[in-house]
Amino acid sequence: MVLTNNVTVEDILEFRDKKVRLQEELRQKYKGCTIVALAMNIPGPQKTSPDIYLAFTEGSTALESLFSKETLPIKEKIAVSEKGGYLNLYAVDRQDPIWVKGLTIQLEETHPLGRLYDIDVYGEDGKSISRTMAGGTSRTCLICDKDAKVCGRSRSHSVLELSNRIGDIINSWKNSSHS
Amino acid sequence: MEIIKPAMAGTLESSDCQVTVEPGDGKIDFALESAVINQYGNQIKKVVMETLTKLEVDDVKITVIDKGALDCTIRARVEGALSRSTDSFKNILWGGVNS
Repeated sequence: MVLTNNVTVEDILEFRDKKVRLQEELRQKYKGCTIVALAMNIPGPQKTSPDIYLAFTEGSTALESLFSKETLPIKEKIAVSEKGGYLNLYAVDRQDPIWVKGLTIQLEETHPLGRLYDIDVYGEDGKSISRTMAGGTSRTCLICDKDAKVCGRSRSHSVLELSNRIGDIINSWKNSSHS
Repeated sequence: MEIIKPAMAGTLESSDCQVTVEPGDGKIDFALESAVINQYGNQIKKVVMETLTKLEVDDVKITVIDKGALDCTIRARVEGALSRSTDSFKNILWGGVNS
């Protein structure tokens, strides 16, 4: 993956601030709903590219079909696309965030691009439901089997290595879905 | 620099941290909550302390709830919380202490 469109730490942090602000707004507006956020796990300074956008769009489609299959009506959807990344926020009409989190973990675990999806589900207090709270396990690193949080901080893998891995995941999905 | 009022910066999103600062009682009080405290507690503390030293803060209660943030994120969130807790932060940044 060629490194272009690089962002600063400040851009990334502003993007996160915005995500939390929009989540708060939806939560206040739709009491009794569960708020779900779809974003991408892309380490490093490049958060956007045509391929990342393609993978994100596929994730939106998969998540929305899941909502539909599980009879979770979408009351509102907010889409954000900026240099800090891509983000969709949903208010779905069911007040059972732990159950919804279980569904989204399934998607993260089973979709060919699932490792790249960061699907957050927020409880009534606005705090996100952890994977372990919903009966799942912590995410492992994109490259090795270590816990992603531990490995990410150690900087054991270079940004280039991580970007290449992401490129490989997206390419093998593209090849299999278009052949 | 002096902490005038309590302030917060950051989020509890993955790979981020939430930093709260308030006026201290004559020293630096540091509290940390982190899923990786065993592996990285000391490193996180070091980054926070270095940032405080750089900004000449020696009287503060500072709490960090870490969600797997990198050093650059921790630094930026500490600076963000401090900037909201004082009126003079911009001048200090323009003095060249921003990394």
